[in-house]
Amino acid sequence: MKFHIIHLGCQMNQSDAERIIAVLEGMGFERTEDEAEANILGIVSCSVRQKSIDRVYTKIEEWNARKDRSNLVTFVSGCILPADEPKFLKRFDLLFRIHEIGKLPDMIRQYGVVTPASLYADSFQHLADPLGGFWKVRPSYSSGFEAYVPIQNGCDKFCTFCAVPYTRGREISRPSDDILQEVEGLLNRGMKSITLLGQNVNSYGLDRQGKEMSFARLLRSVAELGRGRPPFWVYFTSPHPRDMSLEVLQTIAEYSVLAKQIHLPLQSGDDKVLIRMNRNHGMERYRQLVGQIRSILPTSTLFTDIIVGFTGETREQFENTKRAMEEFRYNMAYIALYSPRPGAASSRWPDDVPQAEKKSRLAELTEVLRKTSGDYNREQIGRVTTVLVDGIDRKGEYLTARTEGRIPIRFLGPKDLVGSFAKVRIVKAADLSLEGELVGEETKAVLGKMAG
Amino acid sequence: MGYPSMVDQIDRIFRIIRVIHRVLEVCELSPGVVLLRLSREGLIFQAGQHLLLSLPGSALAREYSIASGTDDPWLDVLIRVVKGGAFSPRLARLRPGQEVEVSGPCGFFTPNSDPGMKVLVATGTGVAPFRSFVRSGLVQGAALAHGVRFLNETHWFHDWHPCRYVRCVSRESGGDIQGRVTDWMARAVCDIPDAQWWLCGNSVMIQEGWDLLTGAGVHPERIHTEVYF
Repeated sequence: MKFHIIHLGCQMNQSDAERIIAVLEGMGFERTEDEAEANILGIVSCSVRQKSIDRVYTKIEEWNARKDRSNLVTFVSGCILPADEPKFLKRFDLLFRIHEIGKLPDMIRQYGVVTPASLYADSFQHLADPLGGFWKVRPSYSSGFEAYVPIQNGCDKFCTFCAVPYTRGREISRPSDDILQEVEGLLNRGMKSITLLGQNVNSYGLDRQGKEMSFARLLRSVAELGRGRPPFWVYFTSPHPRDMSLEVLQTIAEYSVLAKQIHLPLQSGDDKVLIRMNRNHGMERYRQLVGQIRSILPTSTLFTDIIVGFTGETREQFENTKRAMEEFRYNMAYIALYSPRPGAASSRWPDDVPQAEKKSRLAELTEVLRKTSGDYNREQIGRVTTVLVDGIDRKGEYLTARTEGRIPIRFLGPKDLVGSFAKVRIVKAADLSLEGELVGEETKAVLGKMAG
Repeated sequence: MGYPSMVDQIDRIFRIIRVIHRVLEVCELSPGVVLLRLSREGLIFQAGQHLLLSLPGSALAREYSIASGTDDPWLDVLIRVVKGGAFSPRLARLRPGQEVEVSGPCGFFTPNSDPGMKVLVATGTGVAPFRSFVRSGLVQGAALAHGVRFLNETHWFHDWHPCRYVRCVSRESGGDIQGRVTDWMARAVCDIPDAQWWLCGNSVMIQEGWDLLTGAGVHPERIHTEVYF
């Protein structure tokens, strides 16, 4: 019997999906990419954008329409707003919170879907632990060279635009022993890129009030696992400016395996909008952090998240965000049009910036991004850099890769390089990406002599 | 780090699920404002933090600042009852013995030890965290300016020394100042330029207060805010 799973939204949901896949495969079900041949269909939902919620409803209507013709079991998990739960329960056969993943085998068995492997109930007992069953699931990693490792779940920050504290609950740090064990396993498998995940990844340990190591210490412990091993890169996302410490930046500087790429959500460049967003930091603090990043990690790239058209955002407040983008010179910015999320505090305020104005603000910020990112990219021309090859482009012509700073780059080369590091010289730069040429051993030697 | 102890496990359960607290008292402090007193159930918090309250069987939840002190044997929250609201009228109708689901504490609006006089500014039920500050013994010597529409909307003034408590009443006379709390701030900021400012309440006051203080040269790091929505 086959299953098909769709995940929407962030890498956290992808990581959740990998754990659900592992449980279903452990029950003897086979994963398929073709939903038409699956009998178990699931969605890991996202509540951050209305578009994702709309997609859940579209999908389930489609699947329920198929029930006349075939035996199907449908389930939903992930970020689900309390208000959506009863609606989803009417449409899906099964609904579970991700920390209830241990109940999934029983839920499916009770639904009458049984495989020989799934009959061995005892093999899933360890997942039924409501305290840590989720963390104990060894995920079915979707890539052989890059993996996501959740280190924390939930959020305590209550930003007014966001419903995550209501969908995922409060911040809970995963035990560090468990994280280090998973990372070590990934390194033993030869993973090249590991991303530590959490809604507020750098708040790691704060919920344990001294009973767990800090995020900086966790980064150090992860980096120490790399001693004597082939190179790899460790990333983390996404941090909150409030909890970003000097110690974290200094630790990144100390270890080559800790990638020099920082994602620091700005959301708005205006102090008063930040107050209304309940971000718990002002521009002064953010500016100070960027200064520290530039001084401690001078080669680091800087990414951010921005919301345009937040409720009540005036033109002047938007201009402050635009100026902040010019000042901080981001390499990438994920810019979203504000949309009220049911359950989030700001949904009780009028969504009073017209959609056309939001789009126009997004376009203006995109222009700034293109300029700052393009300037940085053009400065890289002629440099030789290490990249992680992650695929082949749609035409099958170029290899696609990312630099340590996560700038996309393409170059011509043998397809068997996918999943490994390569040295390339940057020969062209676009606003948001680079083009390079593979630097062979001989070329490297020449470059070495030139440099020497 | 070894296997988590039973205490750790219990701690973790508490973070995953909402804990049931019992209503000890419901008392109308002024028209439209209700004090809800809940059993403490061992909850540890810092003055200035808030709780997420919900009712058993309901998906709705709202945040409320804790108004009691860290050593009080109960938890107090102030409820502004919104006419036709989906949640607050239901809380106001609770009776002693009934249950409320509590998640938390959360939040960062907690007093620091930075030098300078602390000036606390609240509108309406925004006075709740400041009562927690004072009942927890954390803000000796601080001044509180409380902005309300009518005189009977001021609460707990006996917690403050009369010299350090200013009632700014916007719609009737009889307070210490007739006008909005931001009117008082505009004058006070000149007298106490080195103060630490703590603003809690509606977003209009906080936005105006922010402009006023930064315009008068107060460094943004000396302004702490908690917006009520």
